[in-house]
Amino acid sequence: MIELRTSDYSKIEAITGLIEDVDIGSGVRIGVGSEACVHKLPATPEIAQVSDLGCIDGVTLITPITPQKHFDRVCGYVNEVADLGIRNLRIVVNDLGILHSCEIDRPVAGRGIVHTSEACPWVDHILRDESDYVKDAYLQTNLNYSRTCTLLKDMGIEGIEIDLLPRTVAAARRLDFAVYAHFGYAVVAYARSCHTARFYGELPPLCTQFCNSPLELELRDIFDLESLSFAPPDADVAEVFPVLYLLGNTIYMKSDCCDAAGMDGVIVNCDMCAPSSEILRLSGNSI
Amino acid sequence: MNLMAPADSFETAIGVIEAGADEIYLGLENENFVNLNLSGRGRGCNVPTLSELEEIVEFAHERGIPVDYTVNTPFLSDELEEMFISHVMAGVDAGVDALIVGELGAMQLINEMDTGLPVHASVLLNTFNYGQIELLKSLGASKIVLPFKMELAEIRALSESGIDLEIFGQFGCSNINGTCHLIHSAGESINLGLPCRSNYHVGGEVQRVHPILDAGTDCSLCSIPDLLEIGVSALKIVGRGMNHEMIREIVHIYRRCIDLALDGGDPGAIREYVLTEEPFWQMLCEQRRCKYLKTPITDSYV
Repeated sequence: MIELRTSDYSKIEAITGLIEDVDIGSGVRIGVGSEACVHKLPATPEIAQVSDLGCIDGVTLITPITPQKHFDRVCGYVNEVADLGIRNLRIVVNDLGILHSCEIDRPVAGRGIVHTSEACPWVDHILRDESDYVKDAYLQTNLNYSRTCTLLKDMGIEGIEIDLLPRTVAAARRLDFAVYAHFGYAVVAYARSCHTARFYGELPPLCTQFCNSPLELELRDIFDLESLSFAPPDADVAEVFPVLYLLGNTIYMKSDCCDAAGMDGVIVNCDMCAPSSEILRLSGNSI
Repeated sequence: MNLMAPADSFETAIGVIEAGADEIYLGLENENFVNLNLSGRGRGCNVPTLSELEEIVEFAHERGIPVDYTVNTPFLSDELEEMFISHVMAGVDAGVDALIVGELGAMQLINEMDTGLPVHASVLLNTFNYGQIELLKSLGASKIVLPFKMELAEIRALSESGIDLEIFGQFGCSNINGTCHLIHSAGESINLGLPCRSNYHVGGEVQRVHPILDAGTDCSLCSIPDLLEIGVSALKIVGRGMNHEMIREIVHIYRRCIDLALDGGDPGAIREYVLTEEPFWQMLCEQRRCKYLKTPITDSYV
């Protein structure tokens, strides 16, 4: 399964055009919504429209981490979507409060719930002195802890989403869930105060036009905690500190991993990179 | 509203208690780790030895100060479970008063351990809404530490859920704590600084150098009257592993400001006090890193 995902609904036409042009077999889905921003949720008619597209096998709605001031509205929205009776609808949940409070049929836990230490760009430096035992334990997902896994299963979770990072994938293969891996970019952090909104000086929800494609961030000066001032990064820091990508209130890093063998699907974020036949081929071959 | 302060040694504990903390929180180093820990913080942020922890607990209890024990690792695995149980029991046996837990499975495990101590849900669980509070209550939590980035109206709404709420007063992260992997102060041998407050070259059409990820909020003094009125259980100061003198001074200032508010002082009186008596606070005011007031950072909350 390949899922092409976006929260910029003007891209749906280009995405469906690509699906029709490129023969990638069956099991193509379109995902709409956001992991971390309530203002990027599609209107319910838009979800219904996407689900009517003949070229896809299903639609995925991604629901975000949800602050209290939006909580009742998002609960109502999720219940409304669930009631639409959309064929092959999959709902991804990134907020434990939403998962606990809403009636969702076979929900999937997103990256707001499923974590991996490997999403730290310098995880090998952090783990450098630890025993192999500790390293192995940390380079799993939080659901590899059987108590957490059981708890989420008891809450109805049937699938999870992870970053396509090699050790995370290896750990996820051991889980008794359907696993969908995000191709190309791993989430490094989510923020509540939207970095993109602040940067452009446009307040939520009017800022959504600015996060349809990512900003590329290259470390220029570290903020030194000793001197409380900026200083150039030294060579060791420069070596481990990757280029970051900011899309709205989510920070990503690139992942070159192309081995999604054993996964139940890969997800391509069409807001991080323009969808192309090449990306579809790469992501499709990774499974 | 209690003032809760960090401690990472007997010396810090004495300092923050003498400066006016009503409660303290701390973690304990663990010999199975080099840089990491089960306390939610890395090397150098925790009480070094069990005997020092016992000394702190005794000193605090003699003064009626409760001690919360941080076992809030955001990550646990089957392989680490026995180690975690031993680590929790070290604190329990030392006489701590509550356990701060940061992982759902760990919360279940601690319930099964039946330590007799209250369980507090860590900030690392990212409890943004009423639904999650209900979930954590069902898992045995008796207090919730709310995320760094909350609006006053949200804290007020969540306070109606009938559970104690603890919120952050001083300092805090730019990103959502339990989801941020820009890990620092975890025993690294290279100087990563504070990645979220660093300068980045923003590429593409923009081409600009900017601290674009900096959404740190550092101060809540002017909001103390509102927080008292809402009924927040504790106001927490961040700072395990930070400079002891600075933490002690911050605790002293918060103590004075809470007392001022309890005596009827409004935000204006608090601000006047702190800027007159503690001129260095001017720098924080100028940066507008207010946690619960309207600023460009809080205006940009999704």
